[in-house]
Amino acid sequence: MRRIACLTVIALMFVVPSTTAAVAAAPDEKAAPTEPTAPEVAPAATNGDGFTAMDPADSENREELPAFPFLYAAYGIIWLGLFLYLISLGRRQRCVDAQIAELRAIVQEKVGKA
Amino acid sequence: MKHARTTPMLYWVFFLLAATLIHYTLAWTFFIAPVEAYMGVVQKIFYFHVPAAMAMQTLFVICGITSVYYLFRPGPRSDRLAVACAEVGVLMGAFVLITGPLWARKAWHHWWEWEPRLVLTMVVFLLYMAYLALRRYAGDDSLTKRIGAGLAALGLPAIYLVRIAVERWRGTHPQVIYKGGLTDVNMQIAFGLGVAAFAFLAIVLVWRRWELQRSRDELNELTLEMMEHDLLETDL
Repeated sequence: MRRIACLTVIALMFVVPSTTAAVAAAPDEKAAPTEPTAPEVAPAATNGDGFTAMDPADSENREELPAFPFLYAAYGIIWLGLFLYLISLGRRQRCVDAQIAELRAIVQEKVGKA
Repeated sequence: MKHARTTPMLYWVFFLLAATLIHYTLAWTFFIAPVEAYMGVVQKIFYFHVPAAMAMQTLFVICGITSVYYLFRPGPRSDRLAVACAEVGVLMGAFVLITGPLWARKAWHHWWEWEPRLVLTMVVFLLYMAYLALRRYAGDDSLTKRIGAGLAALGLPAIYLVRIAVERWRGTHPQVIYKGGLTDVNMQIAFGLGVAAFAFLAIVLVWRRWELQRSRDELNELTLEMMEHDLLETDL
């Protein structure tokens, strides 16, 4: 089951981004309904309690907000942290299992001698 | 005493769900959800920052409730669940407190602000760090467990304060979810996927941590049993 789960995860890593990228690329008309709504909700966004989708045609505005280093750092830290925590959990589990096995071996040995 | 254990099928179901949802969240966040008009791409931190905060709060609440239960009816199950939830909650809290300042640097032009929600989140995080330190270094006897349970129970009102901090003390932290600030449907989907992904991720991590705590309890039990029968020598 563990192998199946791992293989599925690896498959997902390749399949999901490509399918969603295809979905994103295909329906360009999807973006159209969001365009008229943007100015209506703009006041909420200025208060900081709302998010408004950027007009894809507004390339000047896009260039004014170069925040990719922060974004990559945030996502990188999350995945690195998760990865390290999973490794730490695995190591601790193996260590405790080894100690249990060692104690069991001692019990077996002593009982055998007795 | 039994030792050989197999991981149940349900765990792998949750694992696959978590992995799938994380992939979809990433894909939706970076390829489909639109860039926010005022903050730009840095707003995409939101799709993991807020779900991590929600997971953190839920885990700390579960830890607090199981600790209160432990104080009245001590038992290994509630203790294990409390420890597992506290540790995974602290991990989620670390994600929140790291990704938040990265976002704030771009949105507010400084890394940190002494604002009610941020300060209280830091206090709750440190409280549960203290709980974990106590459990890690003060031994595994019932008195330590009870003191730890009391400490974790104290976190419950603090978590409620984090929740109401912005309304009561007029903080500057945005309240996007409660005020319906997600205007675009793809933003809503990305956020929904993020919440589901972190929920299943939290379940998977708590499950593994629970298993570790169960093994530790078994080790302690075995050690005590051997000491009672004089089977344990000084070299152990």
